[in-house]
Amino acid sequence: MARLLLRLYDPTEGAVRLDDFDIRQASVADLRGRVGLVTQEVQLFQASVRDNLNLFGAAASDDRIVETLGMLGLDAWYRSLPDGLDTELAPGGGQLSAGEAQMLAFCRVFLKDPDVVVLDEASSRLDPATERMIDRGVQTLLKDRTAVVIAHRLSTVDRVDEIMILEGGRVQEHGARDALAADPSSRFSGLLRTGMEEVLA
Amino acid sequence: MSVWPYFWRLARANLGLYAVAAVAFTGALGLPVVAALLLRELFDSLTGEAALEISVWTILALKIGVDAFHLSVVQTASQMSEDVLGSMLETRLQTNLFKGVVEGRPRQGGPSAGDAINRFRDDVGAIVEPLTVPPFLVGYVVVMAATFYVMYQVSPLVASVVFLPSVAVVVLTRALRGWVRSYREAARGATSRMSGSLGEILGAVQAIQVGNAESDAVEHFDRLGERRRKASLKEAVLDAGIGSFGQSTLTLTIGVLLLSAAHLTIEGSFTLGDFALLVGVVQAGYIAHFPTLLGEQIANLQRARISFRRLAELVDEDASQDLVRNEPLRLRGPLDEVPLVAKTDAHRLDSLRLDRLTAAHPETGRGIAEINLRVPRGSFTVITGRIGSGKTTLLRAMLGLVPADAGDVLWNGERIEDPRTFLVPPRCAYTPQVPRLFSDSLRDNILMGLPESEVDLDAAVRLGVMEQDIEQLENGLDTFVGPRGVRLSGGQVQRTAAARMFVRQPELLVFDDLSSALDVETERQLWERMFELPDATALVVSHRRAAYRRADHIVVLKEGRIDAEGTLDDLLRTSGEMQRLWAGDLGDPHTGVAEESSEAQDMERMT
Repeated sequence: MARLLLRLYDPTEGAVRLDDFDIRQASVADLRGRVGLVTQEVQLFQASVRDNLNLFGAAASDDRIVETLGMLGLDAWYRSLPDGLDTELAPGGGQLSAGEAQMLAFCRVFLKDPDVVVLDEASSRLDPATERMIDRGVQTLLKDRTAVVIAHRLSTVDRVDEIMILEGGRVQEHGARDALAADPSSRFSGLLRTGMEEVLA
Repeated sequence: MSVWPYFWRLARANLGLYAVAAVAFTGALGLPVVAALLLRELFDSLTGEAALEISVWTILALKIGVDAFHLSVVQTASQMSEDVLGSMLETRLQTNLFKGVVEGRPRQGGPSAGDAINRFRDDVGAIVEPLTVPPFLVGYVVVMAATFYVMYQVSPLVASVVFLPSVAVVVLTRALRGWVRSYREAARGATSRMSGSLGEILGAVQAIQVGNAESDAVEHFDRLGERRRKASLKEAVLDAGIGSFGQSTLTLTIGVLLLSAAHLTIEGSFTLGDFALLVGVVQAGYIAHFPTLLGEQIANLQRARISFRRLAELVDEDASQDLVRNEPLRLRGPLDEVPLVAKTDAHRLDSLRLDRLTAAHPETGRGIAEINLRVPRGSFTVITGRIGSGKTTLLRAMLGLVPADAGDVLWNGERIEDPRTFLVPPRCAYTPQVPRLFSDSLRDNILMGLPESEVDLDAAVRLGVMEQDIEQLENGLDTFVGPRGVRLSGGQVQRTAAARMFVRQPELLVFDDLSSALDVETERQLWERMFELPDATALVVSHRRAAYRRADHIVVLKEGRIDAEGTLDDLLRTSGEMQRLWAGDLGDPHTGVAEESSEAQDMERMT
């Protein structure tokens, strides 16, 4: 679904609509300027931190980059860079921790200032404690944007408004999080109970 | 680092070939001199000054015979011996390099895959090139000495002039050594950056497309290409400069030579035959080639030094001598089967112990210190802690994938000399946090060369909780997974890696954080099935409650040291860090995102 939303594929039937507008009618570049994607796999390049965050372009000014890094809690990391934004990352991200690499991916997307953000298992490499830590920054950045969160961890979807459960390519359940949680017959509340049992056992 | 001993060791295995090539070259270079001598006889017998009493026709026949033999047999033999020698050296170097990469410790922050492939091809070529030249040089020296002798008999002055260009070129090239090296370093470096970047960009196509950065990425690649063009151009200009210096010195010399020879002929101290000999010698070309060859050889040896250092960067620091080891090459016949090491009592695990294991990252100083741990047979040990606490480093130091600074790993009470080669199937198998699949079928990714008839593939698939996925895939186990398994979901990749591990029936199973791609239910299922195995022993990094609850022993790491250990109940009562991990609450958002080496470049060790 994330790929359809970004037009990496097009649907064989039906359509993806943004504000009732079939995204196939928009140019791919416009669409991708408005929709950001963070995946589990973080792609980093042997290039300066600036080029890594701006993806070799000049979209965001240095000030904005530093500000965004700060919002994501990476200011200490930024200050440790020997040449600031000119510091070159080693191939494959070199000595970055999994958490830092993931945060840079967040930063890259937020610099685009998208209207819609897709988080595709974005924090699944982080341990729950670290996930909590970056959560505050991510919440700030998601403010006033529409987010689609793809997750298998219940803790990741604590704060969402709506939940859709997919199985075998079909929608099993779809509704407001609170309503699903309150309905004892829903799949979601069943999953919550499994999670709770984990806590209680 | 002096590379000459390495080059000598590499060449030593092929001394026989070197000898054959030297003889062939001496012949190839010497026969034209014989032909020139015959030419002198021919002219001298025509002018009645011949030293030998042979008829003109005999001389002519001999000359044609020598030329024909030279062109057909000797030229071919010398060319072939050069080609064979070059291929042997190249094959040996590439084979050793490949072994070094596969068998060595994974290097953190080493060259990217694209760059590495470039080094396999071009840097190996740059080393082999000057190493095939010595037979040439032997041939040249022998023949030049003989020519000098013959020419000296005719005229000492002319003989000396013939050798001037060689001396000039050697002096010049040696003076320029430093430039040759630094230009080469810059050119190869720029090429590396470009091929590395190409690999990165191709690997990140989706991120670039989604980021709307296609044209910016192309521009970035363009910039690297431009940098490479400039660096290569500089090198090419220097190269051409040295070459043309040799050529023009030579042309001038030949001019002087012919003029003085003409003068001597008129004077009468040079016979017409002598003049023909001189022309024949000049025509044979080696006076022309020798200075150029010598200059190139001096420059190429400098380049080979740079390239050898670049190859050494691909393997362990202490393994550069293995790059030149002389093991027999397999050039014919079918490839060896991957042997299935049958599990015997000798592989049985009773206990694994870490004794004050310490490993610090050379740059950041982070790592693990003084880790003591005992893993008895049939137990389930969980290592936990926040990011950067050293969990992965602990596993990797134990397995010998990063060097330990101090401490020991003991198998059944005995110290393991080299964990990297000892802790492999069927003793031990390891699934890293980001497993690597190959662009191959699922079946081959799991078996990785093991004979299917001798292992229980179905059981391994079931233990990895992969059986339903395989049923749903169109081609089942024969499904091609794409580069690095892109056609599978993250969970499928991780479970395939788990099946790869189970099919080897290791005594000790080591997992680094399955939960990054598995949902709670699947992870629970995997642990459940694993414990159906009799006496399964597992050491896992996890922060899942399902794992904590199954654990016989939990180790809580904090800043590289054991903060607390025990059973879950004890720890929840006594350890603040464990309580925080259990609750997933660590307060200040700015302290915990810490360096833990990226595992992205991990290679799995299952052979």
